[in-house]
Amino acid sequence: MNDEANNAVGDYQYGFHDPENATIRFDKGLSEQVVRDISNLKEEPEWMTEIRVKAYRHFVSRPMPDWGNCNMLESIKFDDVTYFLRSSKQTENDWDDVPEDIKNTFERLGIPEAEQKWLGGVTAQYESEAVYHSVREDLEEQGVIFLDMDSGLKEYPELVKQYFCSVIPYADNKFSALNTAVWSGGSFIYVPKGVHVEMPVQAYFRINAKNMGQFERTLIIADEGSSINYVEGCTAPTYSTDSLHSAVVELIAMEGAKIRYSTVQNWSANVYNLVTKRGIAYKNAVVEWVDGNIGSKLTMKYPSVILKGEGAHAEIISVAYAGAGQHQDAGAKVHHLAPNTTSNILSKSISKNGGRSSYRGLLKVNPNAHGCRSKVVCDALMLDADSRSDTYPTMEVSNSSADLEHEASVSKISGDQLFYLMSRGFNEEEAMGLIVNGFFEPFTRELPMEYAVELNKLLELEMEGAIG
Amino acid sequence: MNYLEIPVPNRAQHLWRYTPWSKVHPAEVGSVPKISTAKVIVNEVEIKSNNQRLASNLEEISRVFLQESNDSMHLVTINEASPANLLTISSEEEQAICHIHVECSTSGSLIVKLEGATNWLGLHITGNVAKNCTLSFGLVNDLAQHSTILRCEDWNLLRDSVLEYGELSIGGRQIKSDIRTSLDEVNSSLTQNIAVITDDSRHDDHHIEILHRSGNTNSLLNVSSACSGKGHTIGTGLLMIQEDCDGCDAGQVFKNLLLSDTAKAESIPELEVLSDDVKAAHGAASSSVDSEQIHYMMSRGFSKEHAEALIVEGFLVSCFAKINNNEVRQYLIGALTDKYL
Repeated sequence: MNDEANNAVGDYQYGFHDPENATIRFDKGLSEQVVRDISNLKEEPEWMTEIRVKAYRHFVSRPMPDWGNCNMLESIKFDDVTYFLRSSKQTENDWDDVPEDIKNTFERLGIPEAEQKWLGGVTAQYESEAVYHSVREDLEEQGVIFLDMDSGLKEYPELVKQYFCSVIPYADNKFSALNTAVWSGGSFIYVPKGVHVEMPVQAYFRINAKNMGQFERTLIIADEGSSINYVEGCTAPTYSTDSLHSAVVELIAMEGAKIRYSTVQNWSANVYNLVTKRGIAYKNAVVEWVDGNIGSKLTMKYPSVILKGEGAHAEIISVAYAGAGQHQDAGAKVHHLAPNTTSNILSKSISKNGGRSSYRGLLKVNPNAHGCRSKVVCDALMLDADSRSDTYPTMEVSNSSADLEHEASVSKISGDQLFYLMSRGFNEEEAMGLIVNGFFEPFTRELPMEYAVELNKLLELEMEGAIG
Repeated sequence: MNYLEIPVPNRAQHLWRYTPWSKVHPAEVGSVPKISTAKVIVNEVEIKSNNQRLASNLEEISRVFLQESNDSMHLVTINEASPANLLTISSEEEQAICHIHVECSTSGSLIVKLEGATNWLGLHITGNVAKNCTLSFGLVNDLAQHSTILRCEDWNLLRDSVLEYGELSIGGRQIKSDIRTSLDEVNSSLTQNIAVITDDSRHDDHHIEILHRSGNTNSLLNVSSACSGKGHTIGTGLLMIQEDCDGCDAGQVFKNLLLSDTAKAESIPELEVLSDDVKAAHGAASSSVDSEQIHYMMSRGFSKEHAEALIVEGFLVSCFAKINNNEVRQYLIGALTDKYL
């Protein structure tokens, strides 16, 4: 690692990286041939190759978004990105069989420990493909499918064909088209009718190579009356050159089902994190997004829920932390298509050291959606005069019986609160750290314990040097 | 930049998302027709334009278009000789345009009424409120129900000045209003209260920008809308606090009452905050008339329609309650009561 990268790593807890040990690495740049080669290499069915090619053509023809942080978006050099890199020849099922360097990385991230203590199953993705995967036996016996997406396509092609792109079509936006064209890895989960997965299942994504694109694709289907809690964490080593993460996550909650999808994103400050996440909730189903954005250079991520069946509910809780050079452009979208649907959105953001955080949201009520209720709350804290906080909420209401509320506020840390804590012996930095932790508390209490602990530690690290 | 050099805005642009430029242009979007000046009466005396229109330094398409279509201007001065003013803008022509420039050098009031049966009215109001002055401004849009209105306003507030702004929008069929206020100097203050009624197929799009350019400036925006029939209300607010503007206190609230299944309301209150020691908040709410309130009124002998009308009246009147200037407040409330209820 060069000095520049070393210096940067010093500030970033997960900024270590292992030497690349790629089995297959594609040349940089994207073309239709690259897309076909990825598909051929994975021995995919013809229909998937066709979708990839169509998506690639759409990606090429579609202009960059003219909203958001256009300057940062325009600085992405798509031709400098490696679109496929395979670190391990096959998906391993036994931790002992995983190559040593990859295992080292994940052990430093704490995955085996996490699996033992808490998690029902775990998929770890390293560069483009999943390298390790296991599902607890009792879940397998109940018929729960938890595979990496490539294996899911091989083993359950009909199920994947039925739901792939059904929630997020490839033409939804430029980056969903890119993901559909070059996707690799991600999770595929099917929970049968009436099965409740009590323990959270986890995936971990990591970029180890520079100029690497990671395009995982996740599809979760919870059949009628089932439930699942899925947790995803993302990190990347710090490199002096930029990396691109553009994922697509599709959730389908059938009648009476419940899906909770939790993310803590701690990409290093050279990663463009441009993610499309959307769920469909059928009658009386619940989709919950718990979304934490701590890292990355630019994040544009708006988890959304389409409330398609009567009585469906959406819950979106997100926090964003924007430090120096970061722009966290996050938000939430809810479409109320059916009667008596409800949604809650809570967004909290902190900007520090010139960072910029933005909330961008959409709340839409269709004419047929009688009796809908929704509440949106956005709170922003600014820790210094160099930072910036924006809020761009949109409410579109076409039904008179809807009951919608939105409220937002931007402020600095209260002098009274600081004074109170400092009068009890905390120094200013500690007091600010406590206030920040308290500010994010509605989010952290929704996370599994180890993630909550990790998030609080990350925030403490980020808060170091916040004074002066 | 000339109008024809400016690209026609597409609907991806926030400002033109719900009302495309082609819907409020009086002819083909590629043309700049010369449009006659509307009739302007101040305190029952008609005033003429002085052909000295101030150049707009914005390259915003509607402002440039209005300037190129008619470069005349009416100057209205609020001074000690004339502190209270009633101004009527009217036209029976097919199309009409008007630019009013307000210079407020004392504390006073100005009420503007739009009336007449023109098919298309272009209106640009610019104004400066001088140091230590308070301007109470009221605008009633009471044009014929078939009219299309393109309205731009640009206000500048200097040190220790106050702009107290009230608007009642009930006239016309297709309305695009773009109101921008710049709080240029310290301790300037803006309160903006806008009541909108969209009924039948009325389409009313308000874009309100408030720019805090100095510290210790205050703004409060309150937009209340009652939507019935196939009415469509759009309210977009952009509240910007620039760097080094500590001590600002800014808020915006959008409230929509939806009175029919075919009415629509969109609210987009945006914040961009670049200073940390500020208070900035916004809120938006959409709902139908509270059934408990209806029940309460009906149990006291009102019919359902009458009860609903009274509740709507109370909802809209409350929007003007905080206007301190009695004359402006009473005019706006009177216009609301006379015309709608």
